[in-house]
Amino acid sequence: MSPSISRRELLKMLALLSAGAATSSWTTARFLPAVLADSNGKPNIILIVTDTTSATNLSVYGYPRHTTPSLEKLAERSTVFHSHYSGGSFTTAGTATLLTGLYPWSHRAINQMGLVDRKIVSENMFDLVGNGYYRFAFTQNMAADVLLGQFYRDIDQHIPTTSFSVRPDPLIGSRFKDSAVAFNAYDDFLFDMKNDPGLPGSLLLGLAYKALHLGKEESYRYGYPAYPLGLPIRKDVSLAFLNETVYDGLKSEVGDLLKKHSPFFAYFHLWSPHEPYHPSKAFMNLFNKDNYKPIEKPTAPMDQGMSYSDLNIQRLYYDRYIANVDYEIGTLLDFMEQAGLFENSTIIYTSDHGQMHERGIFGHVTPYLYEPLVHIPLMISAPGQNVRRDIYTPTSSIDVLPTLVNLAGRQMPAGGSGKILPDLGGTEDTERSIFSVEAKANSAFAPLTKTTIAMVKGDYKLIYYKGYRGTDNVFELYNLHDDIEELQNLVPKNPSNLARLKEELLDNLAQANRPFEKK
Amino acid sequence: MKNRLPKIQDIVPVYAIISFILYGWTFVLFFWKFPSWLDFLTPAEIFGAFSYGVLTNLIESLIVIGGLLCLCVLLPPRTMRDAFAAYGSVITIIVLGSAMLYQYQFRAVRLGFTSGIRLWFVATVFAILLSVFLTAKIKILKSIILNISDRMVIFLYIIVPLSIICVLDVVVRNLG
Repeated sequence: MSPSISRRELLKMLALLSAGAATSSWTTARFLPAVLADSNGKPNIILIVTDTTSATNLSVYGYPRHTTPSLEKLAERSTVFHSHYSGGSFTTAGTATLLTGLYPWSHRAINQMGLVDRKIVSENMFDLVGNGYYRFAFTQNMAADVLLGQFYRDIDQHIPTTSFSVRPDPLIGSRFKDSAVAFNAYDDFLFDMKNDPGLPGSLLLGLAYKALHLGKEESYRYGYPAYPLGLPIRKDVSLAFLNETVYDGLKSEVGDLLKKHSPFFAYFHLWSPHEPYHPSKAFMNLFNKDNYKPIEKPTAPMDQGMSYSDLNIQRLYYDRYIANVDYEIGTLLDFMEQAGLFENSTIIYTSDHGQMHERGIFGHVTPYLYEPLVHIPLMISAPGQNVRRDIYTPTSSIDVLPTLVNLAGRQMPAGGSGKILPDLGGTEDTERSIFSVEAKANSAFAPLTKTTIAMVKGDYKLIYYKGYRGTDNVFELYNLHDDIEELQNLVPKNPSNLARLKEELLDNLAQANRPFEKK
Repeated sequence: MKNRLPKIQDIVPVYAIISFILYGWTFVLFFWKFPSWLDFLTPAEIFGAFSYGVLTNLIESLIVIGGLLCLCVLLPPRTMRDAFAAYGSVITIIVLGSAMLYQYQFRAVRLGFTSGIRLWFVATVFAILLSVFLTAKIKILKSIILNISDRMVIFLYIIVPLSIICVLDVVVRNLG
């Protein structure tokens, strides 16, 4: 029998193949919303931010515990940024940096629950992406929601921060049509439950509201078998939620956006894995007796007095909680995959800041800016991308905004220091300096005199502490290439590098302080 | 029923004391925030926040005066109605004063806020009974309280028009 195919058979096969291809594209089209076909060529943009996620605890970045299988899967079709830094070390400063593309010393949201300088409010991510996009925003973090409140004019749809909670009673501000101002009035002033100043502006109703919410907080601790440590909770507003419900909610929102709006820009900022770490039962026994022993580091002078073993217990729960969150992210990514979103959307995953479990310090309310606090994940999957690319040059959260603006086909206003990210329209710059700024105890209206600044340049990281009692005008210098754990302070050993980097850091600080100095 | 309520000239000084404390608390905290808001919010937004504050104060003050009037209706006239200006003022000072202390005590502490509230409630009730008893027994104390509450009435000339303006502002803001 001759193996060759006749001309007639070849034509038949081609005809069958064409018919098959047509059927398959029809099938795909049937399941895709009609609006996608009408899309004006701009990709949808989905920005997923998980709060308090340190890159140093993610297996996708080389952490020994296998915490992030879903993110590893995402990495296979993304550009992975290995030296990505947050602008701040807590939500307000870190998120404001992400949303304005400016360092904290410029946007001035440097205090807990602070706001962005009014002069730059109009130049936010939602405004700059432009009204060619349907702009959607949801955050579970009150500090970030306060910032979204400033940008309300540029957001087409904002859903309350309490959405998808166990008792999704909206905060008082959300009950008004004039919700942005009402939110500032009630949730940040009259019924304020935060610790600064800790006094609600309303004497009686504020007291009743606080008592009611703190009473509820108690009830979330017990009676939920799926969450042995109690429900995940946002302590700032005493609202509990189930991670699976929150991520189901996101899927539903994405589905709605896909049906009704194209192109869309969605900003999702999720609370977990923020402390308290309350993983669900399925993740409670992960990493049990896995023999992983983190390096014991010297206690920092401004530590919180936590012992190495206590910190390791907290780290274990953090890792479990990250694995729990990673699983939920995986379900969201699967949903997006099935909806065909990877083909026509840019999907970005990042965090606002990291978390510390070392040197006697737990959490992120600290003057320090070591790697676990400022080294955050960044992965960007471009439309149709199916290969992994890795970028090792340092990048900053100030770069995300120019990159999105570029993707949206628009121009950034002059004055920012952010650059379009490499592989997404920008180029790698090994000589560039990246800054992280911590100044929560400094006035937002005064020059930074009580602050910590970290500057990463090439392999080196210089940390400057200014104005702390007992730690004033202190520098630390590390070579991150040789010493990622920041154990060898090179200040005494490398005076020439120190002098060069010190001069640059102090110049930048002086420049940032200039507008706030008394004339 | 109407006979069980005190005269309007007795209600006004008590309402003045209530308003002075409630509005005063909000104003102090508002001005604590004000310099910061100047940098972050527009003047219209700041005034909006202020209006919501005043609206809340109005509601709170009406709740408190309403509560005191309910007491008048429920208790025998001689116990409360006949000395409403004095007793109402004393009760107001004790209740709102203890709320201030409680807020201040737990300003930066979350733990204990709810568990301590029962004890605080009992202590406040005890303080009310004691102060009302002392006011009834010590004439000079009663006279001082009546003088203070009478002088507070002047603040109503500011507070009432301000409340009307702010309520209108909130209504207009939420019409659109």
